Amino acid sequence: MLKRDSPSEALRRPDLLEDPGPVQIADTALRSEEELEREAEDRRRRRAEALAAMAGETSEFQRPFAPRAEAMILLENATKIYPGDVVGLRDVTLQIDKGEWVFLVGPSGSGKSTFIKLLLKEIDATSGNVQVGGRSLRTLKRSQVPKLRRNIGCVFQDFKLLPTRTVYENVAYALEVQGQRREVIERKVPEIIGLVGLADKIDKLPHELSGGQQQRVSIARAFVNHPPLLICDEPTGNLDPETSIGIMQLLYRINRAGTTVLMATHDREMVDKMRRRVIALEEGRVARDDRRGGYVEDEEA
Amino acid sequence: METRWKFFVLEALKSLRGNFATTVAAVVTVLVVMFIAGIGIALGSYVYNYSNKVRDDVTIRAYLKDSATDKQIAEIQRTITETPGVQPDSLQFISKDDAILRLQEQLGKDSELLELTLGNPLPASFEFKAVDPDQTATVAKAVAGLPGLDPPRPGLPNPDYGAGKADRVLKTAGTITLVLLGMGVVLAIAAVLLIGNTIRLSIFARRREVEVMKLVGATNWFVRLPFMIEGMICGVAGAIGATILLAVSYQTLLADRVETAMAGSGSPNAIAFPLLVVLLILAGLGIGALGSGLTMRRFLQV
Repeated sequence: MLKRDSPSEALRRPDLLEDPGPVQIADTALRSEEELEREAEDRRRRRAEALAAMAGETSEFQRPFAPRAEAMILLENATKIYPGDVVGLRDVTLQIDKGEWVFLVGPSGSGKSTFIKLLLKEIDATSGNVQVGGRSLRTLKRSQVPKLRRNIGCVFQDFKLLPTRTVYENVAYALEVQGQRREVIERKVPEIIGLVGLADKIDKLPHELSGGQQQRVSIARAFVNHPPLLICDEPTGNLDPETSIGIMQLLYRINRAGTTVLMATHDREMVDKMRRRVIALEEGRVARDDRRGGYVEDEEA
Repeated sequence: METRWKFFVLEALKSLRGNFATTVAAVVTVLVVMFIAGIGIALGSYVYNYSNKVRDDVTIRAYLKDSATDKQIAEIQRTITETPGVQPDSLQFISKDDAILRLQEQLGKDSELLELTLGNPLPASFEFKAVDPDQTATVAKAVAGLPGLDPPRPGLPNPDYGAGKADRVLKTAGTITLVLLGMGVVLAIAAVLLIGNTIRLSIFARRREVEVMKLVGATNWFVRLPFMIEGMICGVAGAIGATILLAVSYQTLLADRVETAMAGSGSPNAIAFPLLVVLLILAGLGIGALGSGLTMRRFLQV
């Protein structure tokens, strides 16, 4: 259905692969106030730099101004009304191109989750049209839904890892569901786990890992198929700022490799610094769709 | 395909180990149900075989007049052999002497009573069976009224095949079989529900897992199969446990008595034990697969 990109070189570029490194646990008792202040300042600077490095850069796959760029996601007057007249989405029309990076912002209940559920065909639109990868989801047969989902990587705030399986097994499961051969699984899984920087945790269970590490596992699982579309629902929502940066860098590299990234988020700093396309939802409608927007509407714009 | 199955079986085994308490509960459920079902099947088959034996043993007796001539007797014998539907090798001539000997045997130590009678009051007779027990009446009618036969008297039909008596036995046996069958069906449904319930608990505990599986693109069958294999393993384990329990309790409680009761009497047998084992294991498989497969359905609507 969807065309699968081969793992791009961008993923392997050493400068992009660099990990921000483990978070230092400060031995506060031994340090002066000034020193702590300086370190905090230092961290803020590094963080700002990291975000700036990812800001507004247009990958070669991103052609925002090309007149007829291929749509990855296309909504036409999509409306979802839940039982009891609860509005999920109302009359949303938008297009997200292949290779784009899009932030989806808006307060709780504004329709972000509905939007994501529609794309995964967890629910069907009440009216209107939803297309993913050029395929209308309304006419997509139930039996084809698993195939759709194999082409969409998903990263969630609560990681959604299988709790009784090791890191390796969690990632391998995504390949097993599509009947991949054992040799392929044994080759691909350690490779992607290495890529997200967890080679030494490969046999650990999820509860033995930190939040950031668990999110890396879930990203590895989402990306092991090299899906053309990656949907992230507040991937950094449960993580501290330092760890978030690492996760964002990982997602950034994945986007650079040609994967469309749609990220629902509440992280204001992230959105403001990265200056990507921002779609703001409010009460189920698109309130704003900026090419290079901030978390809230720019004053000068 | 082979590695596929290996994967599913390994998945099932892993989750059986991971949910040990549920596994034990499911196995014990099957075991209890199968044990009761096993007793039911054994009893039912015994009653069924017994009633069949009664049916097969229905014998037609044509009593002869004491004054019947040899020619008449030969004629009667010819008629019986030529009647369609008569079991040819079942025909037996019982002379007056044979009849009294037989009665003596039946009476055992009470046979002294016979010495009180004057002479031999018992008539000679022909005994034969119909090929199809249901045709007994028709076959008997073909012989009725031949010269040389004792004329029928009220309460003493001739030929006599115990009309009514066999029918009553058959009817009773039929009822018992039906009741046992009904119990079996109820038990099977109860087992499916119980196992379904046990498995539902285990799935409910893992519904988030199922949700995640669906989200990464697992088909319903991919999620369901390990659960079904799990159910089948529980079912077979329970069935094996039940057969062991059945065998042990038969040996310790019943074997001696049954053997004395049946010694040399050619009594009807209950179902053969190996066949019962196979039946129970197949039922365990089916119940396990069905119980988990049906229960899974509502958890797969993600």
